[in-house]
Parts: sequence; structure tokens; C-alpha cells
Amino acid sequence: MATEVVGAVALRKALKQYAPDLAKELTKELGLVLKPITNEARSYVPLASPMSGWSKRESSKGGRFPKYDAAEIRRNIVYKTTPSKPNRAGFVNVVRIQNKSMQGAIYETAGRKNGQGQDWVGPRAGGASKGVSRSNNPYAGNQFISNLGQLYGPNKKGDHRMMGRLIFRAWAKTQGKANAAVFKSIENTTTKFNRRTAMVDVRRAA
Amino acid sequence: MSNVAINIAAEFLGKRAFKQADTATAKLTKSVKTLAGAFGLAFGVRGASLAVRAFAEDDKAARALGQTLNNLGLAYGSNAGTINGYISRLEQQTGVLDDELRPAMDRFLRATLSVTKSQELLNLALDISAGTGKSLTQVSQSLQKAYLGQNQALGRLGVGLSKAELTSSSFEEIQQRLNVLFAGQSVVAANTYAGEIAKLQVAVNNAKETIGKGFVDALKTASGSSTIDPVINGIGKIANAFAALTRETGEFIAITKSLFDPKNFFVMNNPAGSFKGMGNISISKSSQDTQKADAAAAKAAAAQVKSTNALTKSTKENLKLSKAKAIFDLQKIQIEAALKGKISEEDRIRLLLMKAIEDENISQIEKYTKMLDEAQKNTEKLVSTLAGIKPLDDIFKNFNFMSVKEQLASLTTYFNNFAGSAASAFNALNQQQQAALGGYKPFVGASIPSVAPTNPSMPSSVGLGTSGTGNQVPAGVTINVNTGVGDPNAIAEAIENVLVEANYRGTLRGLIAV
Repeated sequence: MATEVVGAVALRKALKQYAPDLAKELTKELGLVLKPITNEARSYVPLASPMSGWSKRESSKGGRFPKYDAAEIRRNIVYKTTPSKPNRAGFVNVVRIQNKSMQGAIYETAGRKNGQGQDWVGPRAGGASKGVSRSNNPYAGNQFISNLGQLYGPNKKGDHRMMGRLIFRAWAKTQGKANAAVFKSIENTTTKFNRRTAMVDVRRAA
Repeated sequence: MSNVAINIAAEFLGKRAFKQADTATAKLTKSVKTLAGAFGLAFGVRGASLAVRAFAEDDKAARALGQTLNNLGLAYGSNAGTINGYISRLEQQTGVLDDELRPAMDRFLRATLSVTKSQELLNLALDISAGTGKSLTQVSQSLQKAYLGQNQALGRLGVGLSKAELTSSSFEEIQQRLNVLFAGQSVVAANTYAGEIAKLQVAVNNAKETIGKGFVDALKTASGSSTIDPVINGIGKIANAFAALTRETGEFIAITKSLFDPKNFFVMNNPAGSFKGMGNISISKSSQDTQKADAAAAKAAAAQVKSTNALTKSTKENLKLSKAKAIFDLQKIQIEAALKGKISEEDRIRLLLMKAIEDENISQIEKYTKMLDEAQKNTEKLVSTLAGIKPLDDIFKNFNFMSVKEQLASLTTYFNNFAGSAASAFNALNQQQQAALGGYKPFVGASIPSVAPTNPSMPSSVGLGTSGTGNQVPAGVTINVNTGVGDPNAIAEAIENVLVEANYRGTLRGLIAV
């Protein structure tokens, strides 16, 4: 879960406008913390598809379910330090690690909501619900999830949103140290900026 | 793109914006409701009461402003009407009620003594009020204080001027800066939707006041009352009795018929209908009347300044003259010199009193007179106390003292005699006897405290004899005692030593216990 930082967006704007060097410094410091995590997350991406049927073939023309592509997944594991658009709750994310690709998201989160796969209804079942398996194989979901491997991260009862196989696994491994380092960097920069602006105020007053 | 992400730091921004929008909407809704209420109430009995009250308040404010003009000597020509017309137009243009504008104008007039300057400041206050969101009353108070030299009051408005700027700049400089910072704010605010609503509200208020004036005039005519207050108090009763007194109020309705003419509801200009000179002045440009008023006020102010300056100059000159006189005042010089010398406390007070008399300083004179009285009383008290003390009696007058010299002489004589006897006794011995005594020459210095000085003769048994133990001195031995210089203590000590030694030797027996 994200920690709320009041004034983070304003700080970033102020830094860009009045202290570009500090803005760069902050980005660099955050990079030093976040880059190893994304690198580690990338290292968890299997080179080959966990299931033969999911692998990308030369002849495949794509489809609704994206084919496994390790390079694509790795390329889309990134960190961002620019403010996002506000979400529905009104929060703007300032620092985040993303797994942007569709394949990566599937590999990351499959089985998080239902460890045994979705309920099987078969291909002939009516309705348009997406919350059920319509595969020919009644165990397709179960087999898919078990082939992807274990989920990592805090296993809270009824809340598995912080569990995953790539970025969440790498994040869990830091045991909160990275989180603390991020806030420390922001705090340090804020202090530096405030000191600098205070000096400007003093000069102005003088 | 998927939405799989670890959000490390986030900030809550969205809801705040919603809240601001909500607040703005709520304000707008309130304004609309108030407006609608005002329209509705204008037609009811309570509305009539409110209309009368509104007129009364407006009339009171207008009269207060008129009185201020009278007090300041600006109430000549069509000044009062000009200012009221200016305020009315300002009210319609900006949507700010005259209830606020009149006190603000009043405040500025009292501070500046100039109609033109007051108009300038009122325009500026409206701009600042629109720009900062502060009330016109607050802004006008701050501007008035700043005009009178308290620039810090502007700092609290948050107008974007630093403390240093406020401290170091003159009011004209600050005004110039504020004109730049808040230029056109009131016009922009007046042209917004909220501003339009406010303008509408102003129109309704003016209509209420007009209606109220109609009511008051009608009631005055009907009841013969000459003031508004009894009418306001009685209007509720009149309203309750309205239905029952249809016949009696027929005349009243006939008189107030014009009140219900729709054109009177939206009269925006000339609400009271009694002011003169309205409409011949714009916000930014003064009329000839105003210019005349300003010129007269400036002339009066200049005359006052000139008079004050002359008075100040005269006071300063007098002060200088008195100082110069003081330099050559010998009496004062002498007093000052005397004060620097070593004098008693009473003398010091006397001198200070003299100095105060010379300076004609009444408070100092009273102070030192009081102190001198007190000092004199203390002196008298001391004198009387000293006079009451009797001389001491000579308690030693009956004492018979022997002088130390006489005592020493007596002692010397005694010991000389004693030493001579002892020595002659020893010397009288033959050599064998002296040898038998071991050649011993005793008694070099002796003291016999128990022997009275009046009895210088040596007892026959003292250390000398033929019986007893030890070396005995034969009869006729002379013992010399060296008595020293004459110090009684030394002599006594020497005698004591001799006797002790004689005792040790066994030659002393019986007479003196050692």
C-alpha cells in the first residue's frame, strides 16, 4: 500500500521550477533505490514460457490472450518518479514500480485472487461472465497457476494485492528497506530545498 | 497496458478539488436562495418590516457619511450627493452593498480629508477585497491604518508585500504597488456568475430600501409620527391588525399605491430619490464639485499645517532661549558648583530646593521643601537627644594608684638588698667552704613571690645552714642574686628558678614550698 506524502507533487513542481539540480538529484537518488529492485524483478522472468501452449511462435498471429514474451515482460518492468493521473479515490502516485506488459501482469498476478483457478463452467455454458473458466480442460486454471509457481509477498487474509511473482517478489525481498530509503530521499531533498528557499527569503528580507 | 504496480508514495489531491467545487456550488446555491428569499419576502408582511429596516439602516449610513463630511468641512456644494451617487454606481458595478461601501468611504474620508483620495482608496480596497477574498471592511481598515502610517496592517491581508517592503516604503509607493498587483480584480469578480448574482442582490436590496422608504413615508403620513423607530416597532402590530382594519387602512393603501408599481421594484438608480448631483461623476474622474471640495480641503489642511509648524517653531525657540539664559545664570552656576562639593545631606537638599526655585519647577520645589522639613525635624530630634545625655562620673577618682615606676623601684631595692645579702654570705665563706659547696654560685636571678616587697630581709633558714642534706652553706655565707634589668616578671621567674634548684639540691627546706 502506498504511503501518503502531503505536498509531494508540489515539491516536485517547485524543484523543477526553482531547483532543477535538486530535482535531478532526487530522481537519481530514487533511481539508486528502485533500479536494483526492477533489475531483480526482471531476473525472475523465466526465459521460456511456463506452459508450452502459451509460448510465442513464429506463426502466431496474436489473439485476445497475449503470448508469453520474456523480453517484452522484462522491458516493461520499470520504475517511475513522475506523478500519475489521480485515481478514482483521488490519489496521485508519485513513486512507483510498474509491471506494464499484459504478459507480465498475467505472470505476476495469476492465482492471486483464486489459487485453484476460476470455477470451471465449460465452453457450452451460457452467460457472459468473465469470472469463470470456459476451457475444455476443467483443470486448465489450476494447471496454469501451478506451472507459474509460488506467489511471494505478504499473505494477508483476504487481501493478496501485494503478492506477485516479479516486482512484488523483488519488493518483498527488500523487507521495507527500499520503502524507507525512498522516503528518506524525499525528506532530504525537501530539507535541502526548504533551507535554500529560507536563505533566499533572508536575502530578500535583508 | 496493465495496472500492476507497487505504489510507494502517493498524494491525495482529487477529493480536495471536489470539495472546493462543492463549496463554490454551495455558496452559489446560498446566494441564489437568499436572492429568491429576498424576492419572496419583499411581498410579505415580514418583507415589509425588513424593507423598512433596510431603508432605516441605509438612511442611517447615509446620514453618518453626511455628518462625517460636515465634521471634516467637506459638506459644501453637492459633495454629499456626489459621494452618495458615486457609492450607488459603485454598488451596481461591483455588486458590493452600500452597507459596506459607505462605512469604508467614511473611514477613508476621515483619514485623508480628501474626496478624490478617498475614492482612489475605495477603488483600491474593492480590488484588494476581490483579489484576496477578504471583506471590504477589513481591507478598508487596513488601508486606512496604512495611510496613517501603520503599514504593517497591510501585511496581515496577505497582499504579497514583504515585511521589508512594508517597513521601508511610503504609502504612495505601496499604493502604486497594490494598484499593479490588484488591477481590475473587482471588475473581473463583478463579471463572474457569482458577481452577477451579487449585483442582482444589490438591486433587490435597493428595491427593498425603496419599498421601505415608501412604507415609512406612508406610515408617517398615516400615523403622524416624525421618526422611523416607532414605525419599526409598531409595524408588526400594524401587520397583525392589517386584516381587521381594512377600512381604516384604505387611505394607507391609497397613499402607498405607488409602492406596488412594478417599476419601483427594480429601481437601481437614485434609490432614495432625494440625493442631488448623482450621475455627474465617474469612478475614475472627479467632477468639478469634487475638485473644488478637494482644493478647499487641501487649503484648510495646508493652513493647519502652517499654523502647527509656526507653533512648533516658537516653542523650539523659547526652549533654546531658556537654555542660553541658563548658561549665564550665576545663581544657578553657584548652586551647581556647591552641589559638586562635599556637603551634608541637608545642605544638598537646600541647594536642590534653591535650584528648583530658580527653575520655577513647582513639583521639584514641593518635593525638596518636604524633604528639607523632614531633614530639619531629624536634626532637631538629634540635638535634643544629645542635650539629654549627662557626662560620665570619674569612677576612678577615689582609686589610689601606685605608679608602675614606684613599684619597680621598690622591687629593685628589695632584690638588690636580697642579692647583696646572699652574695656577701657566700663570699664570707673560706675557700674550703666554698669548695665544699662545689664552687657553686647559686642564685643568679631569684624570685620569691610570697615574700612581701615590704620585707626585704632574707629569712635565715632559706637554703643555707649547717644541718640537713646536701651541700650546706656555713653560717655567714653571702648569696648574690642577679636580679636582671628590673622586669618584675623576669625577676620573679629568676627567683623561682633559684628556689627550685635549691629545692632539688636539698638546700631549701621548710620555709617556701615550691
